[in-house]
Amino acid sequence: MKLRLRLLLTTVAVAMPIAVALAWLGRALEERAWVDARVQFVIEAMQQGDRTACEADPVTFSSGRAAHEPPGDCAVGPPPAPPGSPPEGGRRAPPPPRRYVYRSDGTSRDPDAPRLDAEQVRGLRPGTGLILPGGLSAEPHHQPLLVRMPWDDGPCALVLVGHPTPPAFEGGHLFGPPVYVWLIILGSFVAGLLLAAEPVVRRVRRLTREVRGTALARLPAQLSTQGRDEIAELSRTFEEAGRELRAHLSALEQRETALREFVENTSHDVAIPLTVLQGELSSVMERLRAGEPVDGARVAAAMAETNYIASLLRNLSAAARIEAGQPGLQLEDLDLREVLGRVMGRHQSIARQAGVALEHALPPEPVPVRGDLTALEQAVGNVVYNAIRHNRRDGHVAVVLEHGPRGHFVLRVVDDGPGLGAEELEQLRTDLANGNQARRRGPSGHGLGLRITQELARLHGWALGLAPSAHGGLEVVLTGPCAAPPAPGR
Amino acid sequence: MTDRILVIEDDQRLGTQIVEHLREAGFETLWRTAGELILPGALPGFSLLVLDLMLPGKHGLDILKHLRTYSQVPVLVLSARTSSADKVRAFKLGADDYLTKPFWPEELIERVRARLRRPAMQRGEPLRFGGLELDLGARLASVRGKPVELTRVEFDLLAALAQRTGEAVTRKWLADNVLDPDKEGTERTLDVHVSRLRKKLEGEELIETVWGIGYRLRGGSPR
Repeated sequence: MKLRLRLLLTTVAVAMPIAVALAWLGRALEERAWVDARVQFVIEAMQQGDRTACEADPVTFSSGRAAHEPPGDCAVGPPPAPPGSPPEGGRRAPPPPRRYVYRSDGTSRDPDAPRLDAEQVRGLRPGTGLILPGGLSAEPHHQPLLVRMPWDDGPCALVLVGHPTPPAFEGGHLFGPPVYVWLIILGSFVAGLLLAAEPVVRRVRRLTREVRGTALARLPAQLSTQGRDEIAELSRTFEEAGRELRAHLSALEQRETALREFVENTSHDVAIPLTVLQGELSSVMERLRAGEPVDGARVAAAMAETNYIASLLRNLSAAARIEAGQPGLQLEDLDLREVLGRVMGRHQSIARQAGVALEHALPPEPVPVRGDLTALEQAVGNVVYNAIRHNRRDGHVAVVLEHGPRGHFVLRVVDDGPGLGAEELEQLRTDLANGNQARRRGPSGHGLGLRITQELARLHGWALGLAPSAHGGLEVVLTGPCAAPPAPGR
Repeated sequence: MTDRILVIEDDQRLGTQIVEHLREAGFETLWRTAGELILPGALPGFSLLVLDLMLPGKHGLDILKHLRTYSQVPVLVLSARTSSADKVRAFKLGADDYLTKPFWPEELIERVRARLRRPAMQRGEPLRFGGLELDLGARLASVRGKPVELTRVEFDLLAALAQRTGEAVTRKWLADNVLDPDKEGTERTLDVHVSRLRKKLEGEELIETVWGIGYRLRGGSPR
């Protein structure tokens, strides 16, 4: 249902019962006032002389004949027009109402007087009146009004008169103005309401159009509804909801893109070392078929490629998570010595295969850090693996963890391999500083692993530094803040 | 006495490799492929458990959790799952180490040895490194039974290396902790002290220079 129609129906549904109730109440009050005035009028007429005439000859008084006779002792004229009666003007005055008089117990000398109910008579207090049910035979359109006089003695203690309908009630008036006035008022009220609702409806329609438009165009919601009312608040809520929805969609798209790129890049990056591995294994197989001794260097090269593939897979997985903006770190209190111990254990066999001496030194005291176990192992492992992979046979790699100044630790990985040229080192530093894509590989092969390390270090609040080693290779330094000592047992 | 190692690994090829390498390294092995709880007393005398996680039947972590209700035997977890949550869960349930696949057999052997290594130093007893005997309490050193006179710095240097036998110790740490700070406590001075100490140890090639780091006392880690 449209808003305007709903407003109209609601207004009518609410206003109509209220109007009827008010009309009924007004009519009841007006009727009460009319009866009171009539009672007062009857009593005053009796007190001003009619009582004497009545008590002298109650039957004649009741017949009303006295009203048409010249005034006399027993002649009682018709009661003057009661207050509120229309002026007679040019119209012919209605005949005077018939009056019946009774004793205080409700009996009358007039044989034509209607019989009264004894209960009603007893319940009527002096000076009050009571509309009786039914009509009077002489005046069928008048309601019988029984009035108790302020006295109890005599034959005229109760007077029954025909009680005319209040003039205001004739012609369908409820109370106050006539019905058509009420209808005009109600119509005006509805029209005013609809006029007031028009801007609201217009704003709601505009809001609907704009929300639809931005949703279809997938644009950021910028709605024109201004102000402080509920519609403006609804508009702002739409904007906020739209922003959140778009951010969510954007994150989902980013994840999907990262996943797609991850699959593509993994296929590409793994294919290269896998091809090399196949070549090495093929050579070994050919030698075996020819009955020649297996070349140890070939086997070592094949093993190195499997190490590279394993490292690549771990880094690609981390890169996909980082680029999707969801590294999902699970921080806990760790002793960096244990992390480094595991990294060294993993890389000792790789170093042996490569003919590189891998040594490490740890401080005797714990090095507490707060970090993600897997991420830190990977961050440190990448640096150590690079130092081994980009070294030469009989080369050295030293990994030293020390307590540094101001509650920081210093982790140095030094090698005596060929290292990087000044230009290449500068390029690598620039790429890392600019936060270039973690996924992109550098020409030296350092790129991916080091970028992953850089990113994971950044997420832990660590710093990564690169410098030429005093021994000819590269020196990579990781520094970061120590945390509170870890709980014992780990 | 040979250490007994229980291996629970459902993959036949990987299980065979692990068992072969452990045997070649001198360990006695028992191999199970099913994921079943280890009941108390069912496998007495084993020194370490190598436990795969993805097993038919009970999950490896359930086996570990049950084992920890009555035993503190070292457990080395093997898993292809690399997330931190998995590792942390395993550690919280009582794993002593966690090795992710793929891994080289040498790494596994090294980790097993590291877990089984007993404390090298026993309080109050003299330490022996080849022909060198070192009594830290009495501050006495002898080579092949012949007392060696060492200066304070030389003895402290030897004791510092002996207390971390088999580990490389940085020259900076030794210079900071062994040399007299009031005198010229540089790494260069340390090298001079090491040179003198080596001469006094009369051909015992115990103090090893570690490239890029410092020094290490070798061969003195009795098991």
